[in-house]
Amino acid sequence: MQSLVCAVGLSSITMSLIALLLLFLSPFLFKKYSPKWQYYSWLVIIIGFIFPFRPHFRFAPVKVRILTIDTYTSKESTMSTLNSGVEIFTDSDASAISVFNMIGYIWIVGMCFVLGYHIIKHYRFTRMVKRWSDEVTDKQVLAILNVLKTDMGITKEVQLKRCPFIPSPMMFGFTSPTILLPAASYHKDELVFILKHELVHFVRKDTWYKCLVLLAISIHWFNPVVHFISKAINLHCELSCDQDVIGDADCITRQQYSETIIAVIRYQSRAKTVLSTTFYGGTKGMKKRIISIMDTSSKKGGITILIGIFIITIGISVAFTSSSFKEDKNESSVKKVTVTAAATSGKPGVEQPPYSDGAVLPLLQYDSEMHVYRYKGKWVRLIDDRYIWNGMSYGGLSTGSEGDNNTWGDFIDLKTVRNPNTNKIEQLLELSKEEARTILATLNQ
Amino acid sequence: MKKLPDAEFEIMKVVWANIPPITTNMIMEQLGNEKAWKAPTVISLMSRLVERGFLSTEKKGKERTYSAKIDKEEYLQFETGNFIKKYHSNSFSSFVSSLFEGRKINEKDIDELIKWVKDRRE
Repeated sequence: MQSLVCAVGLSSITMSLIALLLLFLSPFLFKKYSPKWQYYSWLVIIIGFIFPFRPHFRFAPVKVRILTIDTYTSKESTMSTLNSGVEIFTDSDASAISVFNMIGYIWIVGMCFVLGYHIIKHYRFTRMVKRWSDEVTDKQVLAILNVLKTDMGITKEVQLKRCPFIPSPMMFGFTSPTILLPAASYHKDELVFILKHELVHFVRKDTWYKCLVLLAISIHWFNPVVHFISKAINLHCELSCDQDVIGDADCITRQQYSETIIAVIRYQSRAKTVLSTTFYGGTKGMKKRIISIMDTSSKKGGITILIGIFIITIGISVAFTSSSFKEDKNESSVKKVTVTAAATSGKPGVEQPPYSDGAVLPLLQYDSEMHVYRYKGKWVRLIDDRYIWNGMSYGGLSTGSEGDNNTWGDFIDLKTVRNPNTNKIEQLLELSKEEARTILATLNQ
Repeated sequence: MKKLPDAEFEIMKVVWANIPPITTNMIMEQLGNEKAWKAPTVISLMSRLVERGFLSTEKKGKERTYSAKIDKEEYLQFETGNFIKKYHSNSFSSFVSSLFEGRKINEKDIDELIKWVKDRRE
């Protein structure tokens, strides 16, 4: 749970930074590149949000757990240690785990809630549409639709319905589209543009894109940036759809298309349906759209933006994950220092218990690429550091996380050999398979 | 007012689409065959609508006639308004692409936009 919470939190932060970068560059990109590239750059970012785990993304692969040996502080636990003979190492702070668990559960509940909310809303919407809408039977309108379908190579059946409560034409459906028209009576020329616009949405699979956005919103419901992005995506979805509708048409066609969209909005703004409760303030987004439609200057294809965003998405997340791992390590070394300070308070040159399993670490090699500790080239699965000092048993076992032999290679199980006089670790021995199995069995009990 | 179940809603749609007075025969002709409803079913659905206050009824000689007490617009406002109120937003669904989804625009701003587009032509 801890690593999951960390991974999601971290990807939320890193992806937000990338998203803010794109948002910040947006006005500049808007002038130079066609909106389509920005629309699909957002897709890369959305996918980055959805998959928090990436290659080489491993959290504390060898969980070299920090020892908190109670034996040092209380006699009671010394007894228990003696009895069991094995001190099972716990994570540095048990309460931290429960906090992580709690955060994890809140996150999952929130995710289910957001996802459920949107699904129920959509279900209720489609039910309402079913109740209130009527199939369009006007032959002229159907003829326009059929011509457009043939032009665009759509073989799927397209349902066309008139729905009295919607303010603007809309399209939904994953495999076969349903186009809804409001009660307004549009002119034939206007219908051509409106229907083409909705069919472009279908051809581009924008409904699927919206699903991914919703998934990202559900996973990162706690992150306001994601909600903000979804608004930007909606705008770019429409901007790029407009672009696909007009293609490289002349100025007059662009003007007609602009006027059609303005007519749709005029109807929507005048509508005395339930939507009259919403506020005014759509002017800015609208202006941007009209300017974009009327813009005949040639725009660069922005594949560079797309690739750039892709590289940054992969790159930054890797950088962040490795730095986060280093932070983890620093934290543990701080704790080690305090422990060693306590430990050296005894006889000089003699290492008194307790001391952390950090004492083993200098004897291992840290593989910064895979984030695992290695010994003789193999990744360390188990360290047996149980020992007797002044007639009492100390130390314990530490285990790495579940290993992946395919990516990390072979594992090794080690046992420490301590000097009876100084109690320092003198060498590491490899445990036999049989010994290791017995020890692991006691750990799993 | 309460949301009507699907069957009663279908009846109301026919009532709204016709000029009163409405008879059960009219409903049977326009809906009963399509839905394979029997006359008693339609009559009981209509009496329930009378109970709900959606229809008024009077007996003229042999025949009982009905007329709508709540008009279509009023009920539409109620049902869709409830939906919007419940979900506190002006977007109907996250899986739908709207031609224009956003806040409303002042008439004045719309006129300005039209003018701007026209000017671009010259």
